[in-house]
Amino acid sequence: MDFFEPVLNGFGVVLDPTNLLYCLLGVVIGMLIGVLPGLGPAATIAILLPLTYGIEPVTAIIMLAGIFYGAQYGGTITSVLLRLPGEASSVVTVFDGYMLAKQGRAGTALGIAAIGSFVGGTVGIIGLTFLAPVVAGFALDFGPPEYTALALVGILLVATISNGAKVKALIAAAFGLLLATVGRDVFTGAERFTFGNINLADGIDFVPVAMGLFGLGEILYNLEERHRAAAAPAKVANVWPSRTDLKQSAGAVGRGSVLGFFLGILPGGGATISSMAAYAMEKKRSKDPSRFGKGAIEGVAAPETANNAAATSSFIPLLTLGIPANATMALMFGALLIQGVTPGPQLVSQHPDLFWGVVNSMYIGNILLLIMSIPLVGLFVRILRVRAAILAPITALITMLGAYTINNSMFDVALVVFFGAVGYLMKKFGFDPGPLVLAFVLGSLLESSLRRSLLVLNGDLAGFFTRPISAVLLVVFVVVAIWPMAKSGIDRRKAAAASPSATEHEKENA
Amino acid sequence: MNSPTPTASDAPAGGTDEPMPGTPAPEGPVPEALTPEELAAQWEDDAAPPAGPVANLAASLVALAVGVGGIALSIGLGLGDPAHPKPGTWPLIVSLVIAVLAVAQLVMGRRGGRDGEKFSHLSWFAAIGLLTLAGLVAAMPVAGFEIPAVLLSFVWMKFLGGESWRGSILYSVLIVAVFYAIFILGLGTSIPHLF
Repeated sequence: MDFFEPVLNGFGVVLDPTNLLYCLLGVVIGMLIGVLPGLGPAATIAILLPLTYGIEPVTAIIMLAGIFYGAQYGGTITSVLLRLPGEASSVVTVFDGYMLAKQGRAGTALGIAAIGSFVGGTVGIIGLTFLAPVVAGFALDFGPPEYTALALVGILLVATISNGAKVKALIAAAFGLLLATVGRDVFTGAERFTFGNINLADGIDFVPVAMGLFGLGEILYNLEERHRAAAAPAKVANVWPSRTDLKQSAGAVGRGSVLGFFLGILPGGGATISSMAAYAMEKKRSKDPSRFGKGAIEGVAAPETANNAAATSSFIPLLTLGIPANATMALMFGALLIQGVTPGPQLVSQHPDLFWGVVNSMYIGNILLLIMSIPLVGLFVRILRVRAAILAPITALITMLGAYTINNSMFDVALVVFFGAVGYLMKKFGFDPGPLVLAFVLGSLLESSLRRSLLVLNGDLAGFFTRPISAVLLVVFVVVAIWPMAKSGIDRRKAAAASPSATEHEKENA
Repeated sequence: MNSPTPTASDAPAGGTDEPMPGTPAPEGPVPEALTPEELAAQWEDDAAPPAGPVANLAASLVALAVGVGGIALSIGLGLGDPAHPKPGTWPLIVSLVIAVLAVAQLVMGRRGGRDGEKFSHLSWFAAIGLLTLAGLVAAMPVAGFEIPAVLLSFVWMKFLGGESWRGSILYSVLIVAVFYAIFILGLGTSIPHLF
């Protein structure tokens, strides 16, 4: 009985008209940017952060969360109708989804994607509902050394699983940590790296960094891309999948949800990896793998279910441990910080209406998406006709004007432009901006945990290993750090052993 | 030797005009049933070439400079010892990590890699975009946001986006008018404005 009370209270929070409205707003914006190529959910959330200043924390997170999982729905529409993935997590859907559309079954594809997304999202939410309090309860044993170790592990995992060069991602993360030290040292009051600039005395604000790196950086990057004129999309005739289709995809949906759920929890995992893994899994276990790529309904059901399950479960590390699992969660973390809420194990107990309000808003949001996704398809396809050349200055100006409203300061706008340039250059040179933002939001917490730990342990670093939880985490840290090098060493040895026989085969076949 | 611009497949002949209901648009030179492997290969062909070894060197050197600079400044802040950390302790650790990783990247990436993207002549668009944004920041406190925003929007649409003169001017004025309505009239924010 005691367990369900906060859950039910959470529903009360969600059904508040303001929260419902912002939930609707979030999922619609999410679907919209999922459809539009160019800006992703991370960039949009970053750009809309100034909006969250004037509203309640719960409302803010409900809206931002809606944007995130709404975008997973939206990306499917362009994948199926135009063979253009709207989001990275919808790339795999293109293969079979577009084929289905060409066979006149676009509605089936979209319908099964919507249903799969709904099921995946719901499984994710149920998992979140039951798992989160358990993890949070367990994490109440955390002291400063445990937090330090956990933050380190989180940053490392995100950096190593990011796309692109791992070392570059780590450099980006370390740079984020360094940026977090700018300003007044909390412990001693000394000013660090401010170079006499008053604006930097209080440290660099998270929001301009996020808006610049993700928002403006993405906008500048998109200026380089010549958007091809979109082909006229396939017509959406039959709107709902048939009973046979549903039966055929049931297994894929089930497996996709579970896979997506677990891959989403892993730091660095997330929607994109889950969608690819689910597709690969379905293809492997299918009795006739050649169907895939030619319009297999499971090829749409599996990735779409997985990406929504992952999008939802990636909230778990954030809401229970205070560790963002990916760049978008880092933005949520920052958004909560702005509101004066520090995510961590105590979030569930200290702010239960926030936690359950957000979780339950996902149920509502998923239902809204399911209801709206099919009818709105026609509208979205028409919106796609708005040329990128028109959208680009709109988004740029929203970003600039929004940045000013944070503190009524031009310095913040200048910061956004600066970090926009940094974000663009990072993309060109192969540095993933995600780990930077993640490390930046965790930076001050990491440092204060470390210094507190040193005070608690009296400078005895071995103390990190005598405490069970932090010892385990640090071992994980070392393993994750060493694993890639060990693996490449093993792979090279395998390749060397195999290559004499391989070259012999080549000589024979030549 | 200029880096080759990525060959984009020709825009499908269908274009963006009103679609005939029921008939999918002709696809142009792209064959109908592409396997996932072929599709992925096509996307990779369209994507920009990787940044290359020179870029890797430049980026690693910049990172190294940041790391070394950080180390120098941290020492100035005071280091203390594990039992009594000072303001400079943590920045030193982080800067050291950056410096070491930068050297590692310098070595590991000396033959280039598959990450990053080469600059192309299209990169000038991003540079111009950045310049206009810097101009906006400079002009806003002095002249309000309206006129610089219209100018920025016009430049982006006409020169960076290839829109027509009339369309660019029209849409720019319209967009800034809407922003005025939302930010100044609707939300009542204190963004510097002229009108």
